Amino acid sequence: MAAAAAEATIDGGGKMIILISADGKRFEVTEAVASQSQLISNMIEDDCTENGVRLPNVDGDILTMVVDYCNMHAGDAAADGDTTKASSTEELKKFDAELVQALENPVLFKLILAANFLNIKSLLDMTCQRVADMMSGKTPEQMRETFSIENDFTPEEEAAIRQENAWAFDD
Amino acid sequence: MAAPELNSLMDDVIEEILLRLPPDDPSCAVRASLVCKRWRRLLTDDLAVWDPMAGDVRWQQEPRIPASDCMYSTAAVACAAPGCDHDHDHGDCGGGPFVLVFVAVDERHETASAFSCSSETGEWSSAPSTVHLDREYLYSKPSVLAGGAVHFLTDYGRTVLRYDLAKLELSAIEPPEVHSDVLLTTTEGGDLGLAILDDQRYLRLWAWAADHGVTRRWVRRRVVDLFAELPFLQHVLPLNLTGFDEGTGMIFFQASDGDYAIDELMSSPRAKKLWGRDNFSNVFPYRSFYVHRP
Repeated sequence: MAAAAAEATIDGGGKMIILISADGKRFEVTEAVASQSQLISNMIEDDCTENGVRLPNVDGDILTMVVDYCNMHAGDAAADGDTTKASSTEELKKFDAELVQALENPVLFKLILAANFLNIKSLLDMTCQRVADMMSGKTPEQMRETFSIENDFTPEEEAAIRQENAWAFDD
Repeated sequence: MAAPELNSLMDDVIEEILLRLPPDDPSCAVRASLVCKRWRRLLTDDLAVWDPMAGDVRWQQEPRIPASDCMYSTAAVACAAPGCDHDHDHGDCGGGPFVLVFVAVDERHETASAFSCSSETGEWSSAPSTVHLDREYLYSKPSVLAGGAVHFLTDYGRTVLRYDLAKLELSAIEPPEVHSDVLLTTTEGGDLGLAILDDQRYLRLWAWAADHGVTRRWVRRRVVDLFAELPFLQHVLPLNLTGFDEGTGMIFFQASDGDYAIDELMSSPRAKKLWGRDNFSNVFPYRSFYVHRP
């Protein structure tokens, strides 16, 4: 990786930067990889990545996933000539599907928070879509159960909303 | 970091998720809006004003209102052209300036608050106009524009809410009879009307008409015995009123085998079958173009 980075530096934009997770784990990535995060991209532009980028909101295990995701998706940015990095569209789809399918809810939510904080649009899209898909076809009760949400409607209010939208509750 | 639950995420993030509910199944968003109050608020935060003929959609954020004051809400669009009561072909005002009227009922079901906003400024009226309700919520029946005001119904047709577009004032009109199968209509004279389907058979039509001067009261226009006019209806019960078209005076209703439209005046007593059995609970003819999300 270091060799590739050094090589990339010559044609510009391939500098390495260090990301530091909440629990102090360090990740060395190219600027091209890190720039998929709009937050980091802005920091690079403002020249404030010299001493590493501290991410106090993101745990090391989550940052590992984020970095894997960004490495995998850096294909677009590094497509020119670097065939080892530029993953095929199909590989990417498979990688993405496996990444989100395998996650338990709390980890998925942490990943959403990280994608939101780092402002990585494609990762936020994918993870939010995964949660939305989990709601599909479920009744309100099943949604509450899936996501441990307390029903704060009074029975009266709930009945009124159900009656108003009866068509949506026909099973 | 403690393991987060979904509802520990920020509003912005929850909104990102709810925005991705399957677009081809709007019932999913409605069911999600019944999960908890927070989701209901997030799901009903934006209004989409839709002109299906032109295919234009314009998004308008709902007025800023405390969540506790906005348990139920609805909205309507009116043409902003002075004196336009949709009695001309609405094609003339399509794409023109419009006024958006937003009505919310609080969580105690005691106050209705109305705001309006013109498409030209995109700004909501700063303070709402309110009326007191007796534990009522908004009925998801189509609104109508008549006499320079937009009208909405509360549950079971207990109150007609009238929002005056010139004075920007909300007032309550007591209906002549309270009946759950009710629709707001307009009359041939341009007055507000009510259509009530009683006993699955009698269509009673009322007008909110001025006597001689300014005082308005409910006047019974006619009672139509649907079984006498359209005997086949006896075999396709139950019937449900679903919509009214202000331009043609057609009343839409649902029967067990499909949806029909009838001429309110019964000048030609026949029903037109629109489509086969489907799952509509309300019909919004395109003239009253609006969509409220969800």
